[in-house]
Amino acid sequence: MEDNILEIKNLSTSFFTHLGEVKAVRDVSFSVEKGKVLGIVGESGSGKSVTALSCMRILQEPGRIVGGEILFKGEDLGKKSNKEMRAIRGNDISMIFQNPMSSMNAVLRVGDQLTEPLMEHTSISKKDAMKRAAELLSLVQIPDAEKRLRAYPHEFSGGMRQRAMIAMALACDPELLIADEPTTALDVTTQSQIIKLLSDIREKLGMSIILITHDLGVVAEICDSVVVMYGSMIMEEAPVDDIFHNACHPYTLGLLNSIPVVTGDSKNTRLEPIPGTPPNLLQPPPGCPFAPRCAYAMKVCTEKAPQNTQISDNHRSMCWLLHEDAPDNFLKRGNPIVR
Amino acid sequence: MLKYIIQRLLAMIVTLFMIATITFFLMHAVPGGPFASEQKVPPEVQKALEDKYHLNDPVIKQYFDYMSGLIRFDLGPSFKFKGVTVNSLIQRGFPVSAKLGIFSVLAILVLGIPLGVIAALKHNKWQDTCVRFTATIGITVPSFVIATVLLYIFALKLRILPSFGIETWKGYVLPVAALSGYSVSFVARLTRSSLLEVFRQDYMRTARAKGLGESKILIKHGLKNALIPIVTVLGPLIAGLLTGSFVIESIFAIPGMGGYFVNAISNRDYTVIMGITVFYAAFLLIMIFIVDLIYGLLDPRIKLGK
Repeated sequence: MEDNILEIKNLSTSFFTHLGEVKAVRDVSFSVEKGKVLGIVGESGSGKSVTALSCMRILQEPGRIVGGEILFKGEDLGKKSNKEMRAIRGNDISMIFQNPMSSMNAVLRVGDQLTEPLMEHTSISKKDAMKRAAELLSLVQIPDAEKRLRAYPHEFSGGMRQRAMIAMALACDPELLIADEPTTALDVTTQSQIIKLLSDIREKLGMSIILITHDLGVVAEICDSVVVMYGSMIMEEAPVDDIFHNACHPYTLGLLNSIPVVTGDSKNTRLEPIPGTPPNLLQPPPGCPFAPRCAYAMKVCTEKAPQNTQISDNHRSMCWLLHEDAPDNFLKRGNPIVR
Repeated sequence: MLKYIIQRLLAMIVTLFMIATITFFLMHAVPGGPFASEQKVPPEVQKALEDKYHLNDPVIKQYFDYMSGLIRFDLGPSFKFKGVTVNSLIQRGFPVSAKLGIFSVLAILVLGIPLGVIAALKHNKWQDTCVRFTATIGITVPSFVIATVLLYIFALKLRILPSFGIETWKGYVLPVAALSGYSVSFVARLTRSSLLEVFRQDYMRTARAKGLGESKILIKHGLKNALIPIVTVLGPLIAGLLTGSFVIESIFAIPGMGGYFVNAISNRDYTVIMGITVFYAAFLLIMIFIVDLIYGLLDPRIKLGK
């Protein structure tokens, strides 16, 4: 209990649109250990970002948390007043976003935006806040920090903006940093720099990180454990090594198979995509959301939602194939897809 | 920056020159003249009048005469009002129109923008519906209809406001309401839609994630961005309001510029038409210039003079 900075229990979030209730997050539970990096992976629309926004309680209308608990250091954030929540946002939990181009306000100076969380959460003077902002910019390896504070976001490159966003998130020494696809909008070289920066900062400051991504390479680099989401539910949760070497869910295996492998061999380099499209969350299928695309789907998969199967202490997977009554138990047989 | 301002001023002079030229020749291309009225005037008298005002000179000569006056800010004498120059006509009419206009601009600032903000904050709630409904009426119903209805209610039935004249502050209420109805409604709608657009932007979410309060998010992050399109329309809108509206001025018997302008056109009072057109054009150009300067202040991505 004390080891977990954040515990999500049975979280459900829906968007109440004109067409009906879109169940963006269904019955999601996971926890983040102190000082560890948790990766949430999954394709677009699987509910990764909505889970993160729910944790911060900054969902936009018509999104609403419809059930579950978000325990931050043992306290349920869902029960906090808006004012209490504001004192936590940007202070104890902070967040960085996918698109650094549009996530900074173009009409305000970088320094102004950097000092905002400091001015909001501490009683620091404007001058000291600026000094601290310059330190933060140096921390994220932006040279000439003091001069850069006077610049506007459009004078920064994409990578620099994401660095500045990280600096902004670090301003009040948060205990938990939620990074929502921090590298998706950046080019490959910048991506690896940002990931390196995140892992350096984690070591230096010792905070916990939730890293949302659809890049398994990024996961392999810095995550300690991984949650795989699909169709607004968690498919598998495991330590990072287990995900890569002992994945038990057909969807996780499908994801692993769609990673391009660079080899000298010109043959056999075609990607293996998962056929089909994600489910419509307005009317999610009654069974496993992945069943329509799953090569191993059985009758029960389309009828009843699978239960969690605990594979080891910290590895669980939600798949009927792992049920002891399943004809061809994955666990007994080993992975059907050999890489 | 200084170079940019000088460039813009020069461009404005060129534009004004072209407007004056086009207006001058269009005006002379229309048949009739200031002294061709239904009342039969003896031919000798008409000729004498036309000679006095150089109307029998070739048009090109008249043009150069007029333009050389314009350069010296001399807009010439009025043909219809004996002994009155166009300069003095504008000096008399403009302050009256401008005073009415300034009150209308204030109405935009204290009513239009705040109403739009309220509507955006209460998106799809009753406050939003009310603002949208009233604003739609304000935009679609012509000002003379609004003026008539207001006169009927407040001057005729309730008898709390005068029906004409601007001797007291009470006299301003109805004309300002009728004059600014459209602009206030237009700006309210624009503010609403502009803010709603801004609310969806990523940086608003970032601001929320920092733990800032809603009012701070709205004012610091929202309004500054939302103001850019509003400032765009505000420039020409203010120029239009300050230079007067013929309809409102004639309904409420206000001696402003609008009245002079329309009468001058039906009278073919050449110098008055020219004078007021050039004046209005200059005013509009200056307002647009000011709008561009404000852009630069609001949005650092817009670099003036580059």
